[in-house]
Parts: sequence; structure tokens; C-alpha cells
Amino acid sequence: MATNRLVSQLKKTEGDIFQQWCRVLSEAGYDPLQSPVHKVFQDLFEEILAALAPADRRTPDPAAPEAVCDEKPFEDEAVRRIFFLKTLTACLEGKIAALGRQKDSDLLRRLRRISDAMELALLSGAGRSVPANPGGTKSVLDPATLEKILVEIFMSVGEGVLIVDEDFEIVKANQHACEIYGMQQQNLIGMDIRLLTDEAGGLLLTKYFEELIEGQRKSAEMTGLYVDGKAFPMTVTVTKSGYNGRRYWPLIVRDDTQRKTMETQLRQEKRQIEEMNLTLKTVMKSIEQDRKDFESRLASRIRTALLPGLKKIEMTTEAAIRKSYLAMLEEQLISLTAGFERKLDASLLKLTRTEIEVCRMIQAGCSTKEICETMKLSFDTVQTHRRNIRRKLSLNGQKMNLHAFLMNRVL
Amino acid sequence: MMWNEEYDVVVVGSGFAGLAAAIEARKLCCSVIVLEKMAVPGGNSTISGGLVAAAGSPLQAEENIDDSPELMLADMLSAGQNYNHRELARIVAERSTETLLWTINDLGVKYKPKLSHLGGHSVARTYNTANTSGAGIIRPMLVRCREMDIPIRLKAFLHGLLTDDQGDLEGVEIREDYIFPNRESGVLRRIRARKAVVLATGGFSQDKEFRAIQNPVLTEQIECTNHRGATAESLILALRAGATPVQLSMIQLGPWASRDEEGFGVGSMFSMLAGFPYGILIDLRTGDRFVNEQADRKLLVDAMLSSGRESIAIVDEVGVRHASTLEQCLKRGVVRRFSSIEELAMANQVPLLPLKATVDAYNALIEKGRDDRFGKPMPKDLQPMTHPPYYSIRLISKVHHCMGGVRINTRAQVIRIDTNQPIGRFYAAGEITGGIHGASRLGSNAIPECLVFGRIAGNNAALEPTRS
Ligand SMILES: Cc1cc2nc3c(=O)[nH]c(=O)nc-3n(C[C@H](O)[C@H](O)[C@H](O)COP(=O)(O)OP(=O)(O)OC[C@H]3O[C@@H](n4cnc5c(N)ncnc54)[C@H](O)[C@@H]3O)c2cc1C
Repeated sequence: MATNRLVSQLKKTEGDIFQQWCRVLSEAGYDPLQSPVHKVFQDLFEEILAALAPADRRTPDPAAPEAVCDEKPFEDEAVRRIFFLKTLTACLEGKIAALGRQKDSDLLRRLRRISDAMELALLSGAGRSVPANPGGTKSVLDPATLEKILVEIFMSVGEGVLIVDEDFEIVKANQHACEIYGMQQQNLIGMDIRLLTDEAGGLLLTKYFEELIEGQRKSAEMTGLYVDGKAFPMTVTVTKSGYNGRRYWPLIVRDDTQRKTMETQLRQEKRQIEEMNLTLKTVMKSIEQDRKDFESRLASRIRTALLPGLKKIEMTTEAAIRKSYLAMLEEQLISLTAGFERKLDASLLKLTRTEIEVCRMIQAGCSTKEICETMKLSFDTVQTHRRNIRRKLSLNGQKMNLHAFLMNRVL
Repeated sequence: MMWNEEYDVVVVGSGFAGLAAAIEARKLCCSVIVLEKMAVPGGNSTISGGLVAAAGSPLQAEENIDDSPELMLADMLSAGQNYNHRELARIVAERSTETLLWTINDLGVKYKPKLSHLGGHSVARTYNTANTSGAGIIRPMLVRCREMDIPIRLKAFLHGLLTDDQGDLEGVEIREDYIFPNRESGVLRRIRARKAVVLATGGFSQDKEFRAIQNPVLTEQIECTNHRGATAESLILALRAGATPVQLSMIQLGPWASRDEEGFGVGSMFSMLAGFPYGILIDLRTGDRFVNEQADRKLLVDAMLSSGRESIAIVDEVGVRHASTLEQCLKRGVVRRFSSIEELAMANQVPLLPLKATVDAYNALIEKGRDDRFGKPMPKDLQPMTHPPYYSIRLISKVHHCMGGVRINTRAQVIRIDTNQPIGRFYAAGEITGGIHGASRLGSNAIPECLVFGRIAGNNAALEPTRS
């Protein structure tokens, strides 16, 4: 394998590389002769080569190097080691190029990644272990891709997400959060979260940040401020997490304007419906009451005024008495129907059954001829009926036509 | 033609130029709308550094700084290598102080109480918003728009400029509910402008394809300080409507941006306010200075890019006091702090001895009041860099500003290419226009330019006769 060959080639030229490195060091104003840097060189060299080599070769975890230079040109040990690392990386790059491998950009990229990873490890003080052969084994979803996907999801989720640090500063904001506040990421990041709400909201957030324990979650409604100064209702859900000894508070922010207007609308509608229900109920009640009143009035009138009259008629044999009771009953019946829309006309009660029949037909707009045919009566008979009807209804000598008179009467 | 809506004045773009135009127009007529394709307002303006140049300002009077519009114009012409359309540049210089005062008195913008001296300016004439950001001006402008009932319609992408039979502007076609950057998204609608259209859609620094057509040196790999929506489609529409293109290949790179963060970030302001004026710029390979740190951007970038130089800026504890973004720079690892020059050299891999020599020589210059071999101005408050800790920032040039754009006249009317006459009812202002800054725009001169011409455009648009 090409890499194997290269690694062994590099191994063979270790002496050259060391000398080259010392030259770089001294050019940079650092005297490699004054302090024994060879051990540092060996450690770094081995570590890098091990990482470059194919995956089956596990990186040995060399013991932490003793402080090699006692005169301490740097206060920070990590800074010194990074310096050594960087310069050595540069030498190796040069060597690889010299070996005619400069076209192998993949190899160079890996070398840089290894060097960067070691630098990061040094910076974070996490020791010197380097992921063996980065990129050598192919997993289904390599961490880089996974991270990209996660970042994309974070950016595009339909909820506003902000991450706030110990200084109340927003360190991350996704697209939706930007839209909620009307601000670009560049503006949101670095901003004090309390500037995005009112005083009460700020106090509440401060309290949550102090009180929350990891894994706990709290939500609160507060006022949000849009970029143009407009206040809007919002819900903020706060959690807490820690990373690298620092605390962070991820915040989910939601603009409640729409929900709030919908809620008020719903509330209003509900109130309206309730009110309507109430009115309908009272209307029904009063209709029911009216009906009951009416029925009991009718019943008592029938009981007190009509039934005794009927009894009297039933018992008496005398025509005169009967007649007068009948007249009374007639009166009573008429007064009972008073208040109905179409009045029962007293005079109509005087008509015979045939006459009523004739009236109905006239009411319906039939001509005398049609009445003759329907009722199988002669023309003259019908004419007589008509005359009698006019007389009984006291229409004699008046201009009023029978049809018009009958229009509004109940027959 | 069928229209979905009608306004007196239709403004496209919600940055400094667009909002200034809308506010001015709304004073004179009753219906103004601002259309913005992004989901949030403000464009480049709201992420800008909030540095505003003004000649003859109150702070200059306080600090006894002698300045005039003539001097500012001379600085603009010198940086612009006389490519400037002089009559337009003059208006910016002449109205700079009046416009600054408008932001203070009318909009209530808050500024820091001290001036900055940016590269390429003869004197300190730069105000900076209290929050070191253009948002310090954009927010009060948005508040004003809300108070004046000027709707700002977001996610409204300008898709066509519609003209009448005479070729005058009559309205715009937009994609409503547009989802950036999907050009097919949204629903087409037509909005009529009874008086005029104001185009204020900014520059195209983020349009990798278009900028490489204008200047092939600016490949895709070169980073950019702008907001993602700074693309060329609206410029192309204006050209199609007959506008005259001016100096489209003059695209500025920012020399002060950090290698260790995306875009403009917080590092750029650190270099601009402290690193360059009060510190030195070092070539990583030699440990030596190579240019006047206070030169105009073009000279700086040219020097930095020549022969693949990598550079850092260094400043000491005294100079760093001018950096208003220091805290955030340190927090984000953009600026690093070292207790000695040695440490700084090691961490940045600069050869130590040459670097020490450079710092000593530079300090000697200041102490003895000698002239710098690169011509860096040595103001009185400049002190030798002898106070640890030292701070460094790793620099890389990023595409920053488009000096070119459509041609306008002093009334902000867009000029037709074939007749050399104004296109009827068509105004433009801000970075979409070209020629004002020539070959290089001086730092803090864009905001005055956008506000001055935005207001002119809005005012004149509102004075157009109303279409029946
Ligand atoms: C990071 C940064 C810092 C800066 N700092 C300073 C500074 O401190 N001082 C200074 O003087 N200058 C500074 N500048 C330059 C200055 O900010 C810009 O030149 C200025 O903001 C441009 O304003 P504008 O209104 O022309 O455009 P913008 O503010 O960019 O606004 C244009 C708007 O139009 C929208 N738009 C574009 N195309 C369409 C379309 N097709 N349909 C609908 N809308 C569209 C965009 O989305 C954008 O919101 C800085 C620039 C940047 C990028």
C-alpha cells in the first residue's frame, strides 16, 4: 500500500527530518542545541506516523513527555508543544513533497488533519491521544457527516432555538429564531438574551438560569420584542446543559401571536354561543310559559263560562231559554277567539252548512257556474243561497262584493 | 395590465437606502411599501459595523479636528483613484454631517462619544453606533417605519420591473412567500407604483458566479463578509429595464477580516479600530511590516495578497483599548492574548528575532517622531507598543463591497443607457448604484452614501405626479 511505503520512507529519513526541523527552530529564534529537543521530536514523529499508517496499527499512547526545556521560553506548556508540532508538520510536508508525493493531496490533507487534531488535543489539555488513522475506516455515517446533518436540522427546525451562555449571551441561533425576532444571525449571536424581552421577562430568565438543574425544563409566557420594537406574546422553554466546564441554556422560543389571537377568537366565539344559548333558553321558556298560561286560561274559561251554559241548554226544554243560552255561548266563543289573527265573525255562525260550503267556494274564487257544477245545484238555487248569505252577513244594499268580504274570514 | 395591489411609491430592499427612501417618501404621500426578499429585514446594513463618516461634525468640533466636505471629497477621490463620479461623491461629502444629525435628532440613534480614524481618511471623522453595529441605525429606522405605517413585506422577491408604453417604470412583479434562495418558490403578484419605484437592493458580493464574471480573480473560494442575500438578480433586472452599468468589476475586499471566523464577524472591527491604527501588520514568513496599516483598503489588500502573504495584526494593551469588540473576539478565539511577544511569535509561527526587531523599530519611530517608511500617519495619541499583554489576529481578505452598480444622477434617477436620459419614475440608491466611490470605497463612507441618496430618492419619488 502506498501509504505504508511512504511511512517507511519517512521513517528511513528520520535523521534528515530532525535536522531540517532544528533548522526551522533556530530560524524562529529558538535554540535547539540549548535544550534536548530530540525526545520531543521522537514522540511527535512517532505519533504522527502512527496516525498516518493504516488502521490496524493502533497508536501507542506514549507517556507524557517530561518538561524538556527548563529555561521555559514559554509560559504555557501547550503553546510550546503546539509550536513544536506545527514546525514538525511543516517539515514533514516538505519531506513528502521532496519525495515526489506532492500530488498526493489526500495524504497531505490527512497529515494536516492529524496535526490539527493533535493541536486541538493539546489545547483542550485532553492529553495527546489522536484518533488512529482518521478517515481510514469507513463507517456508515461518519461523524463529520452526522455533525453536518445535525447542524442542518438545528438550523432549519420549525421552532426557534437559541443557546445562551453564562454571560447571558446568545452563542447560537437558528433560522426560525432569527425570523421570530426579525434579526439576522450575525445580530443575534453575541446579543444579551434579556434585550429580546421586557424587564419582567429578563428577571424570569435570570431566575430560571439560577434555579434550573440539569435535565429540568421550565416554560414561561413572556413578552418578546421584534426588531421594530413591537411587543409580542411568546413562550420560552428553558433547559440547562453543561459542556467543558461551562454551562449553557438552550432556549426554545415560540411566537404566540397567532395562537393568542386564535385563542381570543375562540374565547369570543364560545362566549357568543353561550350567550345565544342563554337567550334561546329564555325565549323557549317564555313561549312555553305563554302556552301554558293560554291553555289554563282557555280551560278555565271553558269550565266557568261554556260548560255551565251547555248544561243549561241540555236540561231546559224551553225554546226561549235555550235560545238565549245559545246566544250567550256564541258570545263566549267569540270572545275566546279574540286575539286570534283572523277573527271568527259572529255573523258567519248564522250560515247553514250549505251556505258555508257555498261561501268556501266563493272564497276560493269559484264562479257561480262552477259552484253549480261542483255542488250539483241549479243556477237559481245558488243565486238564492248567495242572496241569503248576503242578507245574513248584513251585506244587503252595500256595494261590497261577497268574495272580497269573505277573503279574510275563517269559515 | 392586471395589478394585484397599488401604492404611491414602491421601495425594493430594506437596508439603509431603502428605509431612508421609504421614510422620506411617506412624509409626502400616503402609501409606501417596502419589499424585501429575505425573512428578516436589514440586509447588509443591519450587520454592518455602524461606522459613519461625517465631515465637520460636532464631535470633530469638540476634538478640535479641522475637517470639511472638500477634504472628505478629496479623500474619496484619492482612494477611488479618480474613478469617482465626482458630482455624486460631492453630494455625499456635503450632506454627511446633516445626515448624521438626522439620524441623531430624528431617529434617535445613539453613538459612542469618540471618533475613530479609519484608513484612507485624512482625519478622524468616523462616528460609531453605541452597539458597534449597523443595527443601531436600522432598528430605529424600522421603529419609525412602523410608526409611519409603512408596511415591510418580507419574503417578497423582486422578479420583474414592469414598464409602461413609454418605458417608464409602472410597477414590479414579485414572488410572494419566497423562500430564499429557491428562485422558483413563492407566488407571482404585480404591484403598481402610482408615482415611482425605488431600487435599493444592495450589492452582489455574495453572488459568486456574477462577481467572477466581473472580476475573475474573485473565485468561489474567496470568503465574503456580506449577508447571504447580496446577489445580483435585481441589478440584472435594472439593466434589462435600460439602466446604465458603471464599473461593475470594482469589487472591494476587506483586509481586516479574521481567518478564524466566518464573514465580517467581530474580528474585522477589532482590526479596523485597534489593530491597524494602533498596532502593526506583520508578514508571517518574515516577521516584518510591509505596508502602511492605515492605507486605503485597496492598497492594503493588494499588498496582503501579493505573493501569497499570510498576515497577522498585533497590538498591545494600550492600543487594544480602542477595540470595542475585544471581549467577544477573545471569547470566540478570533483574537488571542499573549503575555509576551515571544509567546505570540511561537503561537503564530512568526520567526521571533525578526519580529522583535520589527516591533523595536516601529516603537523607535514613534518615540523619535520619525516618518514611517510606508507613510503611516503618526497621530499624537499613538504610543509605542511596549505594554504586555499583546494581542494578535490572523487575517484573510474577504469580498466586502461593490463599488459598481447602476448609474444615477444627482436626483437619484436611474439613467437609461441608450438615451443618457433618466428612466421615468425609476430611482435607485445605496450599494446597487455605482460610481460614487470609484476604485475603492473608504471605510464608513457607505452608510452616509446610502442614507443621503436613499433620502433623495424617496423625496423625489414622492414628488412624481400620480398616475391615474
Ligand atoms: C459586514 C459589513 C460591515 C459593514 N460595515 C460598514 C460600516 O461600518 N460603515 C459603512 O459605512 N459601511 C459598512 N458596510 C457597507 C454598508 O453596510 C453597505 O454598503 C450598506 O449597508 C448597503 O446598504 P443598502 O441599503 O444599499 O443595501 P442592503 O443593506 O444590503 O439592503 C438591500 C436589501 O435588498 C434586499 N434584496 C436584494 N435583492 C432583492 C430582490 N431581488 N428582491 C427583494 N429584495 C432584495 C436584500 O435582501 C437586502 O435586505 C459594511 C458592509 C458589510 C457587509
